[in-house]
Amino acid sequence: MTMKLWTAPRLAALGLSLGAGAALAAAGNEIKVSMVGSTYAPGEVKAKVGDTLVFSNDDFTTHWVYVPTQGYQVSRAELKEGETFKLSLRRAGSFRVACGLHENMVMTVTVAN
Amino acid sequence: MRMHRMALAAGALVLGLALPTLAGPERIVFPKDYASAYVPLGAVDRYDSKMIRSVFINPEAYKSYQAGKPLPDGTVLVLEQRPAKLGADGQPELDAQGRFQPGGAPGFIGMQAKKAGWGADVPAALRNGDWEYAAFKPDGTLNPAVKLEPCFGCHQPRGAEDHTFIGWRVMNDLRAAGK
Ligand code: HEC
Ligand SMILES: [Cu+2]
Repeated sequence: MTMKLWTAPRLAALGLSLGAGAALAAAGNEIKVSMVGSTYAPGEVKAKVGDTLVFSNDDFTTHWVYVPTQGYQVSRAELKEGETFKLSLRRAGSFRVACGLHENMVMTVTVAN
Repeated sequence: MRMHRMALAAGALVLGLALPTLAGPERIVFPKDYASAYVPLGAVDRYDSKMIRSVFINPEAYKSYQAGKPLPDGTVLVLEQRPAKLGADGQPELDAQGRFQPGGAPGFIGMQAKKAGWGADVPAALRNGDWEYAAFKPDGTLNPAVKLEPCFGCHQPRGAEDHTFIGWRVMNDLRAAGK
């Protein structure tokens, strides 16, 4: 309940601070990935270059989004309950998303041109 | 070194204190030429700290993935951290591929290396197979200010990928791709 109340302003703040990136992202879709019960949902995402992944920690514990796949490696430590992390997709290909805190928490993303 | 550590361990047991150094970072030799002689396994854009963390592996270990061993005995992994280039808004600038750009020299270099038998000297609760961890300053000297217990703690649960976050996975991907 309380989570929803403060996620909205947070998202707005993120959107504003993205600057030039937001223009690019606006051309594509925002794809939400929810973190619940220490799993990524959905476990598989098909996206397009220009889309933005929005990882949302809807869980009751901290997560750590990271991508180990060469060429796509990113990391966002300590994503707390209610926080979001936006990743703009600018390169076609496919990569794995894992969690730095939960070894079995994995998903795949495929980005088409 | 070994004597030194055992003496420390005994002392800590008697006094019931935590060990100042639990593992043997002195065992890890800093590879001064890692940037040219090692094989790059990629660069991680850290969105929280606005850093770029480049990962390298020693060439001997790199070759062995084709033989079916992602990270063999004698593996040396280097993690070099440098600041990303920031734009006017204080956020990292992204290139056309969406990647951070380097914005300064490396400030921190972390390493993990393994040799058969090393794990025996690490307390069981912290043991990560035979891995040891070390933190270096950019000049290649050990950085004693960096505590090493958290290295063991955070990498320990990743047993299925040999206590690494990037190294095992990249090597495994390479092998799966038949490269
Ligand atoms: C809070 C968790 C955490 C702690 C503490 C930690 N690491 Fe890591 N380490 C990671 C993650 C996650 C990565 C993947 C890169 C990233 O996301 O920054 C990583 C990557 C590495 C790598 C690259 C090779 C690989 O795939 O594992 C090395 C080397 C490394 N760490 C060494 C160290 C050393 C040395 C320390 C202690 C000074 C340390 N780490 C402490 C989480 C941690
Ligand atoms: Cu998690």
